[in-house]
Amino acid sequence: MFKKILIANRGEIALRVICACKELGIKAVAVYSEADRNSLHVRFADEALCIGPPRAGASYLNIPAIISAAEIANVDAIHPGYGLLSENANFAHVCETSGLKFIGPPPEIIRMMGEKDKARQAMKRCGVPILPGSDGVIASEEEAQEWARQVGFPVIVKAAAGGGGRGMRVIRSADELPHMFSAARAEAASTFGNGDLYLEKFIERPRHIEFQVLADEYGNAISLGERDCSIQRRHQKLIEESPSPSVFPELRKKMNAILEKTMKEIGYVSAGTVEFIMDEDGSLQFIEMNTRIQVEHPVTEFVTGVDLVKSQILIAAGARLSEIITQPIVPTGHSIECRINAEHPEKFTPSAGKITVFNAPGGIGVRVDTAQYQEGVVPPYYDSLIAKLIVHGKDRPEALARMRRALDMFIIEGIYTSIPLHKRILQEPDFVTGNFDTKFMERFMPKK
Amino acid sequence: MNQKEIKELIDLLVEKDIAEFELERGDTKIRIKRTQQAVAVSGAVFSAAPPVALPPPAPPSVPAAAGEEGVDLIKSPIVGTFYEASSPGAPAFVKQGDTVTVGQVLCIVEAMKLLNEIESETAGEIVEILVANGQPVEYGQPLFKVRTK
Repeated sequence: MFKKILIANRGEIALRVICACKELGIKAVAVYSEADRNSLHVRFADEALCIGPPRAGASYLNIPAIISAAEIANVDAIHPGYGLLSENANFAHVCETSGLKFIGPPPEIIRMMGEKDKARQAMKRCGVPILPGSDGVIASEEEAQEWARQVGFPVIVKAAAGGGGRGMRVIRSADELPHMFSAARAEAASTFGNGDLYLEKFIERPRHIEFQVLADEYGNAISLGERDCSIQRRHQKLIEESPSPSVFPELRKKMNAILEKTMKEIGYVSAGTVEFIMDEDGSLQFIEMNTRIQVEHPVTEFVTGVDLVKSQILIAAGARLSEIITQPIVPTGHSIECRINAEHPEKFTPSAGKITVFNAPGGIGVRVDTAQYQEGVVPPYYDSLIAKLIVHGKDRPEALARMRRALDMFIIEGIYTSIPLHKRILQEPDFVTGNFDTKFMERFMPKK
Repeated sequence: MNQKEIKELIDLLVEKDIAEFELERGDTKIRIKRTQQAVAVSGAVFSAAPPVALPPPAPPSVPAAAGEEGVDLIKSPIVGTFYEASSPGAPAFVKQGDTVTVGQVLCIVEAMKLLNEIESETAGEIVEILVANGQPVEYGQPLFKVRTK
């Protein structure tokens, strides 16, 4: 078992990993930028090292600084959290060559899943339904026209090297294609340094459904069911829940089985999330895989009882899946998460500054994952997520009522937060009935 | 203006995130400037009322200053291991009392097997060496105290 782990991250996920380390009797080493000197993850780690100035590029994304810190702190392993370096295959490789265990999948798997069209091909070979689209990168506009004709309009072209909505264009007809294609190409080239595009069928009212997987180093894998993350604004998730109101037991069972087989075949290790689009006819189609722990992992933890971060650590230390999950998983109840962001609830402008009042809710079935506290400062250099509010109830109505109650009792002052927005969404009839897709936020707040 | 009023004024400036403030009211003139996290209160306060003791100005926290006049701190630009010489057994780059120039190599900080030479950003006399040979150092950790000319 590891004696010491360095956490190459910050904020609530760094604290989350520290929790798992403490429970496993492993010493946790935090790294921090000068802006995070008074952070909770620094306070609760066993050791902490300042590795750079506030700018993430010079600190949390600075591979030599992180490896250097790992060496002088003499750690056995590195947990990369989510975001930052967690899906950087080069970082995983550098950890290996430096004699540090990277808590995640092997670098080759990270690399493969990071190249969107390669990921699609790999999943297709294993029998996972993929969204109809081009076989890899499109060489020319003529080729794009041919693919679009085969797949059927509307289509979407996407940057092979990127994500987050950049280098993407929806194309509804052959006439539109030339102009949209070159616009997407130009944007992809300037954003990611690579103008390569691939093409997919475009679904007007999709749901975003993702499956949580866990695999050990011995070829064993388990799929732990799905989360519905359709409530998004500009491709940023706001609310997630499990089970999905749109996934019926037969579909869940079928997908779990396909994914367990697929993870074994590709040699996946550690935790991961396979993302799908659900078509209007209820069928699931693969879009991409995230080879790391996700923000919304607590939702699955509540429903399955599995500690996913501890599982990652144990797997990396050589434990078998059967030693970690010792009983069959019986998903129980319903869980919902709200991502509390430091931003204006209507204008969505980021809100940095000092938190003057911070009262987190508690009580039965409520979990708050946060690194913020009263008198804490939200720095302007990093993403705006400051807390995750997760609830669990015996069914969806109880989870909804519990979330409303918990949001009412979550008081944060001194900065703007998305709490008022979440409260409104939780009252919205379409959300309450489970009748929503990824266009929900556009309809809910039309001008934003 | 009494001490309580000044404190309330400072609290208000901090709350509203105002960086600088100046007030003249009759015989009273006060100027308050916030530098990073601290507040510096300056300016003579003349008042017809009996003079009150002002709270001493909080020293502005400026990264390079050691808090002493004319003394600079050389800080590590990377996290790693501090070495006083280019290799084991070699003479140290500098010792206490040495005069150094801008750009002169003062030490090595090793990170990921790379030996990074740390150059002085200031000219002066090495007053104190703050770390030991082979000691792990953080980003921003003070290594040398240099008395500038």
